Amino acid sequence: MISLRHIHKSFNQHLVLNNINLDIAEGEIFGIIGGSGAGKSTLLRCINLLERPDQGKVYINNQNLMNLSLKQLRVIRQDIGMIFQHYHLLSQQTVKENIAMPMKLQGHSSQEMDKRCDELLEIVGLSHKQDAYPEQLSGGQKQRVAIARALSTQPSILLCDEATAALDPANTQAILNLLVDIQKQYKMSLVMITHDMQVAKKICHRIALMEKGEIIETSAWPLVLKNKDSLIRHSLYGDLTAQLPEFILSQLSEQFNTHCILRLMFPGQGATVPFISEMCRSLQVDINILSAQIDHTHQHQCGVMIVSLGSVESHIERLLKHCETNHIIGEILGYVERIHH
Amino acid sequence: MLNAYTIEILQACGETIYMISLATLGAVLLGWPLGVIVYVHERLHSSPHIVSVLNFIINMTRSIPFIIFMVTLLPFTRWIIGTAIGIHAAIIPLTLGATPLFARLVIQAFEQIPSGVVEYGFSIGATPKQMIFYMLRQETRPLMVDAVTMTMITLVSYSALAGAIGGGGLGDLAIRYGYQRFDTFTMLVTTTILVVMVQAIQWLGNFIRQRIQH
Repeated sequence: MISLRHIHKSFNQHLVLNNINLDIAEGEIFGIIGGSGAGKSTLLRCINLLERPDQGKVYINNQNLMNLSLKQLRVIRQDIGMIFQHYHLLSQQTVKENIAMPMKLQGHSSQEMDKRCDELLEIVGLSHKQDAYPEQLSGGQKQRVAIARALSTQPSILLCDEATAALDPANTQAILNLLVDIQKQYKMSLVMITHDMQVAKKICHRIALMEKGEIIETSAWPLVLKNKDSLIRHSLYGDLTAQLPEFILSQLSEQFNTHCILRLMFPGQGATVPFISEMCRSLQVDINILSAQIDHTHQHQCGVMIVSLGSVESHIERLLKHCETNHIIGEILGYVERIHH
Repeated sequence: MLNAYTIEILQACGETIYMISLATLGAVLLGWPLGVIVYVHERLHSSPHIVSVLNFIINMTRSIPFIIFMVTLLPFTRWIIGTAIGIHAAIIPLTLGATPLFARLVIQAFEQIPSGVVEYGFSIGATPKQMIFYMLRQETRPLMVDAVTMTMITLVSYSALAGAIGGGGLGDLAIRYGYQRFDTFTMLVTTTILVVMVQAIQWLGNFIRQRIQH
């Protein structure tokens, strides 16, 4: 559906995108994650040529947009919806007028626009706000209007530029659910960039990690968990390690010591507690749970647990082996001397 | 009862209002397209040459003192209207004097639109024309009211200057009676009326802007 080939882009001799290659399938939710300044935003804008790459090819449905005239490009852009972090609604027009705008440009009749607006307002749950002006809406409502507006011309691609970055957690969740719902309903490809790993984890089928203008890793979501060296996995679950008590974190080292700190990941429906209690029984050791988290995404569930046990090599070995046979990912984070003050 | 003096003052008021209204209308009709053309070529499809030529014209006209500008235009005014004095003739220099000001205010208003809104316009495949007439024109409406207010107020003082070369109106009255005949009372009356007029225009402008702004 979308293919980017050897995309290069620089601003004032500063290389922002360096040889980007990317394929996004039809009906896929593709996340691009990375810190600020990684080039995510520029990359997203290369898909509809709001930013024109210096070099490279941008294919949409096997058509290279770089070869099109401005006029042809405008037609293609009508098939690519876009939503923004700061909504960019037209402040002097009502919700309904905002939603109808893309259709108005395409010359739809007013009955058609009315009908479609009503449908869309229904979908995003804002029928009662149709005559309100953007200023009278909350952030979450504004983003709903922006989504409805992007959907009005039934695009096959939706680009989301940090769409939830300005929202509170409850609204973020609601907007993500809405995006997943409409993505399923309209079978479109959704490309989202975000610096928020939790957002990417929740809805993306595949994730690409960007750093300094390059894509350094691309991985499908459940597979990412299985790959120990995955940088994406590291970004997604890195913050969990950081939540460990300070006195454990500060002691943590690779040098063998009395307690071993392990991270266990339970992808899918893996039952976490029976596994731990069973291990305790069979090894006859105490396993301490230091931190645990279960992520529910729209398609998967993943439990992550950080545990400690006494450093007896045979025990550690058995635990890791047991993990492997049960499709649980276990890895040693390091050793500490004490786990209690 | 109305004496001859009062009638003369009232007539001068009417003349001033007439000149300001028509000149404002003219400035809006000429200045809006001029400003939009500069904005479109500056931001929507960059054509720096057109922009610099138009900017030069706008800045040049604005830098000439209005009284000099008016005198310079005398032959042109005479050619259009048939005479260079009187309130009808004054409308020509007033309009042309206020047009660059209004154009500049239009450019500023459009430039204040968040760049994201313009980017959104591009993202849905809007042509520059659609962008201006379907989206940005509405976005700038409150600022346009401010621009008209400011242009009118500037025209109040311009119209007083027009009196100096026989333009009619309150300025003419102030100069003939107040300045040339040392008639302090008339001077005070005309000045007071001008102050009230400016206050009223500003108040009305603020009122309308608040009504239409969302």
